[in-house]
Amino acid sequence: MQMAMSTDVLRLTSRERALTELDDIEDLVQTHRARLLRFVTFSLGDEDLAASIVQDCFVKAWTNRHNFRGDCSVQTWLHSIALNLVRDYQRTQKFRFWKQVRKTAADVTEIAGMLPSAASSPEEQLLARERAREVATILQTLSLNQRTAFVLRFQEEMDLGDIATTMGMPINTVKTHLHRAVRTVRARMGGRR
Amino acid sequence: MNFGHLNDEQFANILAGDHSDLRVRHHLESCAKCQKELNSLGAAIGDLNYASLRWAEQRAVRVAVPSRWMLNWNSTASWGATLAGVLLFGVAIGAHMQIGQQNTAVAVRPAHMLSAPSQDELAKDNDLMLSINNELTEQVGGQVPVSDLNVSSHTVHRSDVSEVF
Repeated sequence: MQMAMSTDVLRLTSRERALTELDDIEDLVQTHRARLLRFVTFSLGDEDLAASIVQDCFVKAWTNRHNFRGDCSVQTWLHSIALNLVRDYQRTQKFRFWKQVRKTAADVTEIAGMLPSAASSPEEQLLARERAREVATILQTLSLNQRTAFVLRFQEEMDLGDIATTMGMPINTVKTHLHRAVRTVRARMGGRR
Repeated sequence: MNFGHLNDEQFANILAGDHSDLRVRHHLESCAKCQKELNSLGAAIGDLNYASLRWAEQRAVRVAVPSRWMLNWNSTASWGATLAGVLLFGVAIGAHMQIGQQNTAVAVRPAHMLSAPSQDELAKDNDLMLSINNELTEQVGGQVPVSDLNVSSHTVHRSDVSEVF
């Protein structure tokens, strides 16, 4: 009983801490915007749309901050809001229009070009950029669920429980999406027998 | 025990830094092919993570801090929507109650009219009651009551007197 009480107290404390973090909108945006922007850009493949969704995500998080129960981290909560917005946009005609226009599609070559150039030889840099570009291109061919599971696991470095919370799915379903994503990436990268 | 190359699940776990499976660890130590594939894919994912985060940090300046006006407007809009919903509900309930009252009024009207009849109706009722009374009086006068069959002399006398008149 004492242990249950201490767990409740810990949860309450973490919730209060998280609410304080959520109250300061400037700090919240500064801390999480880059990772959220990357996540949404990889989810949709469109830079302008991703920036708009991330902005909406912060507004929604701040407006509904009192509904945050403290069961997960603020980062996981923000990612789940962003993913819901991505799903909403994908369902609407608005996204189909954006998808057709694709004027601001994220350029994977540009992303891969962000690798550091001082530490290695020009050949190694070229190879590294090519590998990164290849993975980014393969990710675009995955389904949204497979891509989301892959990005949350290997880019955001979330554990399976947090990914399940973010995606609103059981852990086993998350594992299935993740393994299918890895299978595709391995096969396209030429590693799978 | 024969252990094949890493499957997708084992590969995903190792990529994510989970080295808890001893058989997988032993296999990786002895299998150059899996090791090479893991290193290659791990490096590719690592490079992409690094590059994409740098890219996102540069582009993130486009995501401005939402203004107080926008945040307040958002909460005002949600409150407004709630208020509009409550008002609509109230109007609907009001309209429903008004229709109910009209129906009740229609149903109650005849009872109300019966409780306060007009003067004409009262006069008609009085005439009717008077005519019924007269009929009854005439019927009683024409018939000989059973009690009169055992009449006394006094009663007979009174009858006789009444016949005279």
